[in-house]
Amino acid sequence: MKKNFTVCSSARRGIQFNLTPMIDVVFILITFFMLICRTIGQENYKMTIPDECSEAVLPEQSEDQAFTVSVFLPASLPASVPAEATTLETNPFYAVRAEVFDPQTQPYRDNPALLIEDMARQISRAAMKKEADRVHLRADKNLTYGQVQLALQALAQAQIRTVRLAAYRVGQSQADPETSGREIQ
Amino acid sequence: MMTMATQASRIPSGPRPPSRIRMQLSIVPMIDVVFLLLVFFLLTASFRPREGFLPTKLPRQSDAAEPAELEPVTIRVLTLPNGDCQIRIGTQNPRLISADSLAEGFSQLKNAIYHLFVQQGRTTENPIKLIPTSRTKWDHVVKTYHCLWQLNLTNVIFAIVE
Repeated sequence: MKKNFTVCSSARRGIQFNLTPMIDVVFILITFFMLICRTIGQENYKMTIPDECSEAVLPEQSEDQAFTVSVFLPASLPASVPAEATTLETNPFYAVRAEVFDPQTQPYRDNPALLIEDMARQISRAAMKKEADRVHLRADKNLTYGQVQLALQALAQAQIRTVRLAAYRVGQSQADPETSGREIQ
Repeated sequence: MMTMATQASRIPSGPRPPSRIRMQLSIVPMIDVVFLLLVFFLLTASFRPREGFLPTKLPRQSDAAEPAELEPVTIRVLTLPNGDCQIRIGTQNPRLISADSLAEGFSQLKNAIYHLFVQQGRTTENPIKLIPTSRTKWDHVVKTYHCLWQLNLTNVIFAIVE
């Protein structure tokens, strides 16, 4: 018995790629990256904050009632120079949100107290704008306390009480069995 | 002859066939744009660990004038030229924390502070004065404060140094 082979209509039109699944996948990838990637805001200056603070509190995603005061080394430092070797000689920049203060420029060079005053004024303005008195203090871990202290003084002068010291939780050591989970009452 | 033939070919011979042209969206430019967006996000995205924070309270300027009821425990933090950290709690002998084993050293420091508070019958409300030098590394200051935070000691005063 002779079998009849029929040519299907799609074969007559030629081979076609179905692009719809690919577009779906690509859009899902874009959405994924947009969601997981934190946009680099103007307050996120490049620095290495202290790490190995295993009990540092993670901020909640919805929390936006805080602003950032940053103390960081200038980005123009050559990468070959270790940060430890330059921190004592290099003056850091201070930033209240996106407003950067360079202590090496006039009139701050001759009058460091004016730097604290101007920073305090900017902090007060930012606190009023954000309607918040919570501040994230991001400071490079290789800086000295003397350098970061200016930012603390400005915060105190601006009557800011709640300051959050930025620190990574990663690299946490093993929990100490003696005092782990125990707090002084 | 040529002109007549050309004209004859232009004359429609019958009724016009129905148009088979369909409206279609051109997907190719959209895919181009989408891929460009994808590449852009891949290149510009910076991946970094999520930052945490250690909450602290700065004293009010009016608080400084008030005399403290209880003598605060002083913790002096010093960074040595070789990168090691030297910490002195009250009048105890200074303890050295090697730069190579900061995690272990600060864990031992936490134990020492805990035992001191238990021995002296102090509570979390008792003040602690953190006294670094101007050349103490910020990393060492934060790690010392982290030890106090772990023990629920939050009444910490950061000393102002010259």
